Amino acid sequence: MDRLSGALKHTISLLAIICLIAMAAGSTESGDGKSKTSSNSSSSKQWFQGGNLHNATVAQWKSATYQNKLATASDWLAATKWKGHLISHADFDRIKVKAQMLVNAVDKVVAGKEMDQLGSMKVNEISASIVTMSNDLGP
Amino acid sequence: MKKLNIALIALIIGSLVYVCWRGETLAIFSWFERIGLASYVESLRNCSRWLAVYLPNWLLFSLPNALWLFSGILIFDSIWGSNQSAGKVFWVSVFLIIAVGAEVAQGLRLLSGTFDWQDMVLMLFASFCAVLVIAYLREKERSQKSWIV
Repeated sequence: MDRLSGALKHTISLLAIICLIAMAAGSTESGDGKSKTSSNSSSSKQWFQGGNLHNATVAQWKSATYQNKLATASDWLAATKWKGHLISHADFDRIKVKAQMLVNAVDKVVAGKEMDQLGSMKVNEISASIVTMSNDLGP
Repeated sequence: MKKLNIALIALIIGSLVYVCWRGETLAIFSWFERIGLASYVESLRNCSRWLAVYLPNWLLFSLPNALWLFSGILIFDSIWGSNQSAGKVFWVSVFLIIAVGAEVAQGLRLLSGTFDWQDMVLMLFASFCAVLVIAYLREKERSQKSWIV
């Protein structure tokens, strides 16, 4: 690289900065990214949409898909610790991580052997306990 | 070339954080869809999902930007060589102004995104690390040359 002419170095630098800016542009929110409140009209389903396990039993939770669990967990968090904190797109990235943590926590609880006898127990009771007692599920 | 390799590794690590654990509303995911890589990316995300809960917020939301800045400084230094030159100062300055300016513009709501002091601190740390790596490699190169002479 030391032996390249000045003009060539400037050209390579210009290309490098274009590539770096393009990479940075890729990490910004895309134009079609919608917020949780405004995306109801969107035809493509977002990760937080379509959760229907809010009143599910432990047995129903166990047999549900991960996407459904994640969307339901995001609803629980959005209605509790994250209420009023979902403003920017970045907030949705953050709540997704917390929703994944909540799903994992609920999964761990319902995986216990004693839960086999409590298949009719409501999973929202378990979730409420976890959300209330945890100190790392908030914004 | 060593600097370039380090820069590329840092860029790849930063990109992997975005691809594996960030939300799918980012522009990069629509690019993947357009070039037909969406299914591979989805598999990668599914494989790495379990790790997300163990990763701290600063790693998910601030580290990629810092690694990008770190890589950029190393790339410009490797293009312009060890010696100080007006061209090198110009391009590194332009890059730093873009990087810091974008964050400040987010704070002023001129750009979409959220201003975060954590991002700024990590960017400062990344710049410092880049300078250290450059100085270390230059010193190593110099001592090797003097050994040969």
